[in-house]
Amino acid sequence: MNGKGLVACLVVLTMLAGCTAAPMESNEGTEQAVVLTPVPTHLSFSAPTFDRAVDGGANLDLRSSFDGPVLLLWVASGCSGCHDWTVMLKEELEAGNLSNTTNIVAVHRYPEFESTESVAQRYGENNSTHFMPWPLMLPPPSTTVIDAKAAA
Amino acid sequence: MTDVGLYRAFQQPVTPTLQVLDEEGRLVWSSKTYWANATVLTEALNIMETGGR
Repeated sequence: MNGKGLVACLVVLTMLAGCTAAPMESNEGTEQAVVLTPVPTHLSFSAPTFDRAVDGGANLDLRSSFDGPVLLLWVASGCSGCHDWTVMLKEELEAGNLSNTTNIVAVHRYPEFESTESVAQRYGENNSTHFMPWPLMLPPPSTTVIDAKAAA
Repeated sequence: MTDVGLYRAFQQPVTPTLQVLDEEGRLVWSSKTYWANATVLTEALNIMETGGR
């Protein structure tokens, strides 16, 4: 290739720069928004328990198991704050400052990271360091909620 | 049953989280106070007594 040919080739390549590929399609307006199902206003769920006497069965449905409001305590076995709340609630119960009819329910959080055995050792057994004398629900991570209003 | 995940429905509770569901299942109160606190507990119990009104 002589000098003129090389220059001509470079000129042509320069002119083509940026035009050698089909224009990128804009994603604007074409991305599909992730539409989440609205959260029901009236919530319930069911989950297994340790089936202790205080659990009210091997599987508990939150809304249909209790009359009146429910105090939920989300816990993990390795959570010092959870131990602290457990102690306070038990002390208030024993002192009579909490009615026996107050619905307290603990729910295990982070089952992906903590075994149910560790929860049982911490909260579930009579000789546990922080035994819970109220139902303890053990929902797997895939648990979905029940629309309590629709179910009623 | 819905396809709404438990944690999303309950506003991504950390531990510990204390929540009150009223008698119809509405989430009416929530606290993420880490250490047990008598004032927070009293607030929760008051909410339970009044049904979140």
